[in-house]
Parts: sequence; C-alpha cells; structure tokens
Amino acid sequence: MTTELTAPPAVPSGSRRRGRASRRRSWTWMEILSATWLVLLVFGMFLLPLILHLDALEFDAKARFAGPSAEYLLGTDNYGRDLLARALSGAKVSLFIGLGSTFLALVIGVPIGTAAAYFGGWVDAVISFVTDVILGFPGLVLALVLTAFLGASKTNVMIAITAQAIPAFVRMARSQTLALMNRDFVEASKVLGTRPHSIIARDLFPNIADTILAFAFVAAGRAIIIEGGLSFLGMGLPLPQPTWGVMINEGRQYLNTDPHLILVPSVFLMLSILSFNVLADRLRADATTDGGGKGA
Amino acid sequence: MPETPLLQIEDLVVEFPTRGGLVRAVDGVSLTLGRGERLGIVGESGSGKSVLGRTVMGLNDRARARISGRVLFEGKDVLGASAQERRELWGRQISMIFQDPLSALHPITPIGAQIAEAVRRLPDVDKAQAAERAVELLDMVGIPDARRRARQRAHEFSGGMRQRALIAMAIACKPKLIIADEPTTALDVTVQAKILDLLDELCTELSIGSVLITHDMGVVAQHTDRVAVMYGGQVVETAPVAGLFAAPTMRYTRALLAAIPQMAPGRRSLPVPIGGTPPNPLERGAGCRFAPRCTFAEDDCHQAIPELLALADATDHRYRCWHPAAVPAETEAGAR
Amino acid sequence: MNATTRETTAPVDRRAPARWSRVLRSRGWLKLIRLLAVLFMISVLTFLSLQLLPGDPARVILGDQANDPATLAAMRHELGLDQGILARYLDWIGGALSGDLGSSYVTKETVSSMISSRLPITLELVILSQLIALVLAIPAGIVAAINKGRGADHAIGLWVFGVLSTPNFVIGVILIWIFAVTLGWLPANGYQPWSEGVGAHLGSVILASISLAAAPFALYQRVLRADYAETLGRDFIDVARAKGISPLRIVFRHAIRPSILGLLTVTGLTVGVLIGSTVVVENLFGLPGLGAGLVSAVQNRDYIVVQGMTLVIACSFVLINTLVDFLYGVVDPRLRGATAGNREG
Ligand SMILES: Nc1ncnc2c1ncn2[C@@H]1O[C@H](COP(=O)(O)OP(=O)(O)OP(=O)(O)O)[C@@H](O)[C@H]1O
Ligand SMILES: [Mg+2]
Repeated sequence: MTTELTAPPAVPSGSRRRGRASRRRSWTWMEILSATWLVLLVFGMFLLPLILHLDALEFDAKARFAGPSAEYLLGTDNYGRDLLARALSGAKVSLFIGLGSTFLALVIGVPIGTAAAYFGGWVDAVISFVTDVILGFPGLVLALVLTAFLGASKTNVMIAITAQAIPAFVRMARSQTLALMNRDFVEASKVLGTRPHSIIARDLFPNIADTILAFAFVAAGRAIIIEGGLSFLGMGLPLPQPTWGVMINEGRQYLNTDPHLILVPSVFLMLSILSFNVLADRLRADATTDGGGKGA
Repeated sequence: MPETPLLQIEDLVVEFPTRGGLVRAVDGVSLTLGRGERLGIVGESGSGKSVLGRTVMGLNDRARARISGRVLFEGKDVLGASAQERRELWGRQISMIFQDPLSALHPITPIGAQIAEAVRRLPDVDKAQAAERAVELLDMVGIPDARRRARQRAHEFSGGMRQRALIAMAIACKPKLIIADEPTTALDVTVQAKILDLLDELCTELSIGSVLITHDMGVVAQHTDRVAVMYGGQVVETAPVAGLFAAPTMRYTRALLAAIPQMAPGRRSLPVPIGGTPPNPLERGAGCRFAPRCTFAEDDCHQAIPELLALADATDHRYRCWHPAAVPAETEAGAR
Repeated sequence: MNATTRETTAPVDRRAPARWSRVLRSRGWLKLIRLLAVLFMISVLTFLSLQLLPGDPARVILGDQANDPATLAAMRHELGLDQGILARYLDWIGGALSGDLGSSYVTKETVSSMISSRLPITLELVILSQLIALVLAIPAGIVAAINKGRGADHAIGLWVFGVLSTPNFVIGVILIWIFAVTLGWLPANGYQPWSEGVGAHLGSVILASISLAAAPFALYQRVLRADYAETLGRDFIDVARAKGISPLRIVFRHAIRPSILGLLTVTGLTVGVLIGSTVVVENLFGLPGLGAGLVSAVQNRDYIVVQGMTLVIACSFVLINTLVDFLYGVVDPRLRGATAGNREG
C-alpha cells in the first residue's frame, strides 16, 4: 500500500452535509418557545436581580405569603422572601449543575465509549464491564450516596451527578461508533491506512456528534431532575442556597393555604426540563434524517 | 348492449400533497378489463403503477390521497363506496398480491391461520372448516406437506413458498379480480416463472380476471392478454399483447423493448438502456412526459401532451406520441 | 479490527439467544460468570465508597463525643475500623451472604429486618405503577399511532411530553394538592397496611404509584406509538385489509403483537429505574419503603444501613435486568419471527 493513498475519501462527509442542508425543517412553535425560555432564563437569572435589586435571602416579616405585587412580582414565601429572586437563584444552581455535569459526563464518557467500540477486544470488555457495574446503581441512589458522603457542596453535587451520567454517554458513544464502523467510508479509511486517531477525529466524531448532542440535551434534563430530587430530599446544596427542589420541599407544608409557594418553582422546573427535552427531540430528528447513526 | 366489463377505470387522477408540492402519481388513466381477462401494466419505477393498483383496490388512505375520476367494478363505483361496502368487495370480489411476500405475511400468525382468516369471509364457514380449507388451498398452490406447513410462520417459508401462500390467500374466496403488484420481483428467476404460471393456471381455472403490474416486458409477453404501458402517471400506449409487440408505436414502448436482452431469438442485439432518469413528478414540463429522455423528441414534443390516439384502424391499440415510430412496415428497420 | 463484525447494538444481542438449552450451552455460563462479577464489583464499590470517602464514620456517629479518644477508639473497634480494609470487606460480605448486614446505629434494628419489612412496600409500588403505566400507555400509544400526524396524536404527544418533563415529586405534589388538599378524597401522607382494610391500604399508596407511573407511562406511550405506527405501515396490514378483515380486528389482533416487543423491553428495563424513583416518592408520601429507609439512613449517617440497603437495591436492579434479559431468551422463538420480519422488511 502506497503512502500517497492516505488522503481520506472526500465523498461521504460532503454528500452527507448536502443531505442535511436540504432536509432541515423549519422550527415549530414548541421549539421556538423552548429555546426562548432557556435564553430568557439565562439572561433573567443574571440580569433581573441586578435590575430589580432582588435578594433571594432577605426576610420581609410584613409580607409573608404575599401574592404577586409590584414589589414582589411572583409573591413571597413563608418568611416573606421574594419567590422570583429565589427561583432565579435556583435557576443558576440547576442550570450550572445540569449543564456542567452533562458537559463533564460527555467529555469523559464519549471518548471512553468510542475507544471501546473502536478497539474492541479486551478494552471493550473492561469498559463495558465497568459501565455495567456503575449502571447497577440507580442514578438517584448513586448521586444521593455520593453527595451524602462527599459532603453537600456545589462541586460535590456536580461530581455525583456527573458520575451517574457518564455510563449513559459511554454506552451511547459505543453503540453509535459500532454502528458507524460498519459503514463503508470508515472501512475505506482503514483500508487506505489512515491511523486510528485520525479516523476517529475525522470520520467518527463528526458523524456521531449530532446524535450525542441530542442525547446531551436529554441528559441535561435528567441532571436537573436529579438535582431537584436531591435538594427536594434535603440532600442537595447546603442551605440557605435556594434551589427549586428546596423551594418545593419547603412549600409542602403550606400547600393547603398557599399553593403558589410550590407553583413558582414547579413551573420553572417543568418549563426548563420540557425545553431541554423539546430541543433534544428536535436534534434527534435532525440527526436521524441526516442518515447519521440510527437508534439509541 | 354488451355486458358490463369487470373493471372500468375512467380518467383516474391520484394526487398526494407532500412537503415539496402536489405529487400527481396517476394522471388521467382510463382502462377497461373484461371478465377473466389478463391486463398487464408495465412501466419504470415511479410511473404510478402501484398507486393505480392500490386506488383500484380502494386501499389508499382517503385522508392523504386526492382522487378524482371513476373506478367501476361490475358497474359499481368503488371510490365512492362506504368503508363497509368496500370491505364487502375486498377478499370476496377483488384481492391483491403484493411485491414482497415476507412483509406481506403476518410475522407471528401461522400461515394456515392467515389463510383461514381469509376463508372465513365466506358465509357459513366455521373455524375448523376454514382451517381445513386453508390446508387444501396450500396444497392447491403447490406447497408440499401442506398440513405441517400450515402451522409454520412466514420466516420458516422460502420466498417462493411465501408468494404461493399469498396467492392461496388471494384466491381463498374465489374473487373475480386479482391485482398482482410485481408479485415476482422479490424472487429469483426460476421461481418467478413458476409462480406466474401458477397464477395463470388458477385464474383460468377459476375464471378470475387479473391485473399484473410489472416492469418486465418479458413477463407481460407471456402472462397477459392486454398491456398498458405507463410513464409519468399516464398510460402512454395500450394494446393487445400481440399488437404491442408487433407494432410498438410510442417511443417509450420501443425503448422499453429495446432494453430487453434478445427479445427476438437469433438476433444478437445488445440491450439498449434508456438514457436519463425517470421523471420527477414534481418537475414535469408542459409537453410529452417522455420528451426529455426521448432521442426522437422535437420542439413540438415539449409544447403539449399528445392525445391517446388509435393506431390506424385498430381501435384497441392506442398510443400517445407526437412522432410515433411509423407504420408497422417500418418497425423492422426502426428496431435495428 | 474484529469490532466491525460484531453486533452493532445491544438490542440485537439481547434477542439473540433462543431456547433454554441453547442459552445454557452457548453463552449462558459466560453470562452467569459476568453477572457474578458485576455483583461482586457492586459489593466492592458499595463497601469502598462508604469506607474510603473522606470522613471517619466513628467521628460522624459520635458527633461531639468524638473528642474523647477512648470513646472514639471504642467506637472504631466496634465498627471494625481498627482492622484492615480487606478483613472488613470479607467480614461484611460474608455476613451479607448469610443474610446478616449488621444493624443500625440509630435504631439498633438489624439491617436485614429493616429490609424485609420495607422491601414489600417498595415492590408493591413498583408493580402498581407498572400496571398503571401500561394500562394507560397502551391505549394512548395505539390511538396516537392510528391517528399519526393528526390532532389526536399531537394532543396526546403534547400531554405525554409534559408528563415526561415533570419530575415525579412535582407530579406527586400536584396530586396531593388535587386529591388530598382540594378534594379531600385521599390521605396526603402516611401508610396504611393491608390489615387496615383494602381500601385504606390502596388509598395510601395509589397517589405514590401514580407519581411513579408518570414517567414510564410517557416512555411506554412513545415506544408503542412508534412501533405500532411502523407496524401499521407494513404490507401485512394492507394484506389484512385487502382480505376484508374488520378494522377493529386489525387494530387489536394483527397489529398489536408485532409491535409489542419494544414495549416489553423497556418495561423490563424500567423496573430498575422505578426502584430508584421510589427514593423520592416514598419520602414525599411518607411510605416506609426501602427508598425512604435509604434516605433517612443517609440523613442519619447510618453507614451500616446505607451500605446494606444500597447493596440490596443495586443487586435487585441488576438481577431484575438479567431476569428480563433471560426471559426474552425463552420467550423469543415466538417473537423472533416478528423481529426478523421487521428487520428485513
Ligand atoms: N403516499 C404517497 N405520498 C406521496 N407520494 C407518493 C405516495 N405514494 C406514491 N407516491 C409517488 O407516486 C409516484 C408513483 O409511485 P408508485 O409507487 O405507484 O410507482 P411504481 O410505478 O409502483 O414504481 P415501482 O416500480 O418502484 O413500484 C412516485 O413518484 C411516488 O413517489
Ligand atoms: Mg410499485
């Protein structure tokens, strides 16, 4: 085999891109609303507290259980704390942990899964085995036990949630890579003598990126659910940091008289997870019509 | 007054609204089929053959397809029929055989039970009788050891046997018309001939009329009485088999014939493939559908669609062409 | 190199084995060894994570009293912390295998008796919620598939998507608000054993079961809708129609069975996820199941109990998944035709 032949076949990625462009659908109103909500949430959680001089921790004894008003746009809780301020402060936690842990899990999990599929043999056996072991612990149980004994802090909650998310990314990347390796152009690269890492970098990653990205949105939603569950159980970030889960938990006792204490964080939580899921569905649909890897 | 034909299709148009626009899959097709007659429909992929077959059957999703024109079965309107009336027709009067026998059979239900289900459409047949009849039918379509085979599932049958089972299912209620949509495309050549012979035999025996959809001129020559050639959703030539092969007139028909290897024994001509690609139903010009690929096309071919004209004095041979391959005498030279 | 010739996805692998005998003869033993290895590693991880993580269990348990060296040493001895790690593991796992997981530091109750009183409640919740999810998801999936792309499909899809995006504790709170606080039909909190009467018992677990059922319901509906719609597009459905079979019979007899395999798969896999979800839901509804037990043990720093319960939860999770896997192997000959057809078609 001659060395001149190491150039990668140009056709596959090129033709694939054309296919993608021609099939791109326009955005549905659900998708537009979801993206808008997330963008508003991000801007809101940084800017609104500055503009409106919000304080999530300030007590107002005169305005306990207040309904929405000009001073407290979404009302106040049992201590007279501003619910909007608390919800926005909770948003920072949820988004930071949700996106942060998903990003970490992706960065760690995808290369491992790709390597497992690419090298096969004992590498694959070991990685699959470890994945199976970690998946033996339900996600929330793993996160719960880890945070409890690492100590509840932002970093530790993030580590715990990352740890439970990694195996899913490993599996995902592994099955995607395996599916792709059977396709002709990767075979072609191998036959042409391209070295492993450049095959992975040039052929595999771009081709599984769409699917992985779609999955990352699902994983972000899941991470937010788990963070919510942890703080709901009182095992999340230490008080007095408000989080959506903590707000829901604290609001429980006032459910019969003041359901808005629970309503506000619940709506924030649901809309955020819904948005991630809607966008994930969209990305997944795009990834499959592209003719990228099929299935999960 | 002649008796009503078995099947009459009048100016049938079938359109599908799609993202890219309105796809007119069948465009003004008119055809007639007598009792026990065998009609062949030939054409390239995408010419609208399957859509035509399904529409005649009434199988199209009415919410999705826009249909105009008339389909009369024994003089009765099929398209306007209620769901209940159509169900009366299906199986009892008209049945259909599909292209891929594996996906046309239920994957889990045993073959015998699937045939028995069709048999039970007949009045006064109980379960046991239907099962018994299913075995007889399997035997009749040439499946050895039918009783044991009846208990097996589709994946345990070979391709040819699956298609035989589907034929058994189609004739279970002795219908008057069978529509066979490329019944042998998924099978290998030796099996193909046997299946088509079987179908012929059964149709003759039970005097069933048939519509045989295919893209194979060779099949048409042997297994049909009359032929309609379809292109771009239209019938471009229709004639009795003998007439069509003797005097192929529309340029597309001739191109199809030229694409068959060695139609005439002894002549050592290589098949001539038809150039270009089948037309995109969303990008049709104003003229003859075949004009963009036709080597004989002239300017006027692109201006308007030619009418279906009778060839000389033969009223049952009609063609659609501005510059037809001239009189039969010239055919010999033209085919070269 | 040989990676390219192996199966591409897990599901293929899952459906491959055929009969009891073949399962045992070919890959059965390998799978068993692998299963044992996974269980072993789970026990090691459970043990290590609680032993090696920062913080001295004895100090945590003693709190302020830990400043007294004698007390601390006594506690360390009692916990076995003065022994080597290997000795401690062997001691623990040996006990676990004979049903002795130690006893709680807080209540002095043995961990195994805690588990045997709590496990039935958790299992009941899991089973009830599976039933609820399936009973709702099957009609919802079929109706959506039949009306694919039309109003009913979009309406159901939107609803399902909302449910999928709502954490179970939020659904639980909403249910409490509607059925306990506003309507007053059901208790918001607390467990009634069977001995208090069937109605009282079911009333005390039904809201929790519905909260647990929500996410699986949404998942099942989506899986069934996709598979069912695919089945409806297959030729054999057209053939059945062309035979003149009634639409109802086609919907309920012809189309269901080929579409059900995917649903069965996720139903099995969801059991484990549900066990995890009970952690939150039992806590919300004050039900004394395994999940609630784990949370209070974690909150009390009750190491021994956390260890034991985590081990039991993780092992049941793995064993249930393996059982589901194995059942496919046995059920398969009947269903494999369906998948083969679906693949090749
Ligand atoms: N449900 C549908 N929606 C939109 N377009 C359709 C639909 N069914 C068929 N068509 C279009 O109608 C045209 C005719 O299709 P048809 O299946 O009848 O072709 P055919 O002659 O049977 O081809 P083949 O030999 O490949 O079976 C094609 O362009 C096809 O894309
Ligand atoms: Mg066709």
